[in-house]
Amino acid sequence: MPASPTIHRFIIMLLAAFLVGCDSNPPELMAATKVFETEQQTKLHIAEMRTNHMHLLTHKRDETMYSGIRTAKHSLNACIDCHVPMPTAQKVVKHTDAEHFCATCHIEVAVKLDCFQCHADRPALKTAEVAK
Amino acid sequence: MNRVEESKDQSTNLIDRYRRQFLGGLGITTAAVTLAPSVLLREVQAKPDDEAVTNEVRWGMLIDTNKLPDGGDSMVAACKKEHGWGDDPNASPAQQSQWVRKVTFKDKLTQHETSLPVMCQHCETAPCVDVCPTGASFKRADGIVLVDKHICIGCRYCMMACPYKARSFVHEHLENQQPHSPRGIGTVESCTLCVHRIDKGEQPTCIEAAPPKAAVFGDLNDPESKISKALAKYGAQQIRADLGLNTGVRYWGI
Repeated sequence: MPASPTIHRFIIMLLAAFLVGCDSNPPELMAATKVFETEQQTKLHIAEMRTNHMHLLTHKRDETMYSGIRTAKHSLNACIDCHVPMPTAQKVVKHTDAEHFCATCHIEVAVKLDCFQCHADRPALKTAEVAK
Repeated sequence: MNRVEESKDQSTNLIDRYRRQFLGGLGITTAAVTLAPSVLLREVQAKPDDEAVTNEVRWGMLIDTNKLPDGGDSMVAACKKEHGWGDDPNASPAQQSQWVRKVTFKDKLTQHETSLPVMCQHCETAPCVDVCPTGASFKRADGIVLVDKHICIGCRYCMMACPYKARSFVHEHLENQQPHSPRGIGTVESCTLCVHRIDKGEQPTCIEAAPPKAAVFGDLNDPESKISKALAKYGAQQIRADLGLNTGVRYWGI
């Protein structure tokens, strides 16, 4: 027997009440090494990446894999080079550490991250040296 | 509207830059031919980063086993270093990945021993691509046979299909991979012909590590390339030519 519209409305209201209580502020993330020229660019970048990074990365992944398009934009390596500190003799930040840029949020929201089973989770020394 | 115009401008700029690089490259090549043909001659032209590969080129290589005093050990070592395979901490020797292996055979009558490096032969009609159930094993437009590890389910069917034993399987969790060469648990891997280098306009690392004049890399579709000229003039052998796979890797002296 189908549920009556009143019950539907009640369930929706209940869910909405729960959602209002949610805190959407992300956890504190480690700072990137490069800084955008203007604050507006930074804000746009953050807003776009918060919602879309997974789609952009997947799209870029296929472009690189099948068509050999290797521009820095939306490339995982470019993200890592800027957002994860270069390993030093004292400290190496790995994707299993909670302070790793990607791990911080993924641990918070309990979404499993498979990228780093294959991909490098930190800049290679060589790349970082060239960037300097 | 603005964005469209902007991207159009950008792409024309890129094309101009590409043309300049191409013409500049031509000048260097001509100069290089007169100086030191074997060392400086560059066969590979960089495509612009944002342009897709096409089937106008087909990459291939030619290896002269008579000019490999070490039987290809230097080429194998360079590949290991570039891609980081062969030292997986928990793998038994039989399980270790092997993107290139040195194969030695002896002629029973003459007792002459020949060694050659055998890697993915980048077949035109690749059996690994035929059998892959997910489409992870594929041939890129420019003839490079690759594994898309994002959709590889690790069934290893391609390893059974490959007549050259060119593919390996990663059995364990890995760390410290090279950024340009991702490799990880549960996926099949093989020689990529150093696709990350080719896309930058460089040669595969084994070619650079090979003794002078022992190995040539280039475009098989371009009749003017060094490799095509050599093949047209002297011919070359394929391993298991009877299978009719039209391999991209050819050998002299086997």
